[in-house]
Amino acid sequence: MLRFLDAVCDRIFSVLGALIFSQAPSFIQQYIQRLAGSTYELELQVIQINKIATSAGLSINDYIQKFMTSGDPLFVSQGKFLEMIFERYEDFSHALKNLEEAFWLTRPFTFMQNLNTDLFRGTLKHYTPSVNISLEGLIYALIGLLIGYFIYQGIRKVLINLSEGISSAFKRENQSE
Amino acid sequence: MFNPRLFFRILNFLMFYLGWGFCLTGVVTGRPFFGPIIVAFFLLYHLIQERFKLSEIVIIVTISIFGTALDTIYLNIGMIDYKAGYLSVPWLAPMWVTAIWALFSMSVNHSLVWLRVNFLLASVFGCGGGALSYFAAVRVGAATFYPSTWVVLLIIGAVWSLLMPFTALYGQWIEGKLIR
Repeated sequence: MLRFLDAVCDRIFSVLGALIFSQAPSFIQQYIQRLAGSTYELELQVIQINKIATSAGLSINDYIQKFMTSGDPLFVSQGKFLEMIFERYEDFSHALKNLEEAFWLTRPFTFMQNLNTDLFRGTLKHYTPSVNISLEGLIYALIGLLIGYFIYQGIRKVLINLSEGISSAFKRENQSE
Repeated sequence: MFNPRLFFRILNFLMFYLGWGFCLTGVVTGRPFFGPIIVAFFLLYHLIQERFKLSEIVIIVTISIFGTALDTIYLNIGMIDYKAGYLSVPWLAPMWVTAIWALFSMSVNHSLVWLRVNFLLASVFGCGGGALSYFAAVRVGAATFYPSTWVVLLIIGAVWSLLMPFTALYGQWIEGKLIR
C-alpha cells in the first residue's frame, strides 16, 4: 500500500512540476507585454519632462540638478523622483530590447538577467494559464518534471528520517522500561 | 514505470542546456566565470553519479582539450572572435568555451547516447545542433563571426557533421576499453 502511494505521489509531484513549468513561455510573454506597457508609460513621462526642461532652456540633467540643489527637502525629493523615472525608463527599455531580441534558446537566461520583481509579481497576479506545445514549452516541462520529482524525493527523505527517528525513540523508551 | 536511466538522461540534457545558457549569458553580462563555476558543479555531480568512472574522466578531459583546441584554431584563423578571453593568453579559446565542451563531453555517453545507433542521424544532428549552438552564441553577443555568418555556419556545420559521429564512436570505444 505504502509503495503504491509512494509511486503515485512521485508521479503527481513530477506532473505538477511539468505543468507549472510548461507555463513559463506564456508567462514570459505576458511579462514582456507588461514590461512594454510600463516602458511606454515611462517614455511618455520622460518626453513630458524633456519638454518642460527644454522650454525652460535647460538640459534634463540641469533641470533635475536644479531640484536636487534647491535646499528645500520637498524639491530635493521631487528631483530624486525625476531621477528615478529616468533610471527606471533606461532599465526597462534596456530589458525590453534584450527580451524582444533574445534568441529562443537563450530567452530563459535573458529573462532571469532582466527580471524586475515588481513586474514579476504583477504578471503573476494577473496571469492566465495556457497550453504551450512549443519546444520551449517542452524544455520547461522537462525541467519542471525533474524539479517536481526532486522536491518529492526531498519530502520523502525527510518523512522517512522523521518516522525512523520517532520509532527508534519509542523503541529506546520501551527498552528502558 | 519510472525509468531511472531515462530520468538521468533527461537530467544530463538539462544540465547541458542550463550550463550552456549560463556560460553564454555570463559572458554577455560581464560575469564570464559564472558559467564555468556552474559547469564545475554539474561536472562534479555527474562524476559522483558515475562514481568517478575512468572512462567518463577520460572522455571529459580529452574532448574538452580537443574542443578547446578546435575553437582556438577558429579564433586564430580569424573565423570567430570570442568575448571574455584570457588576458594573458589571448590566442587561446576562453574558459567558457572549454566549459561548454566539458558539458558536451559529459553528455556523449548519456543524453546523446542514442546517436550511436545511426551515424547518419548523428551527422545530421551534429550539423544542425553544432551550428545552432554557435549561432546562439553570436546572437547573444558572446562571439562574432568573420567574414560572414553564413560562411562560418556552413564551415561549423560541416565540421560538426563529422565531429558528432566521431565523438559518439569515441565515447563508445572508450567506454568499452576502460570499464572500471
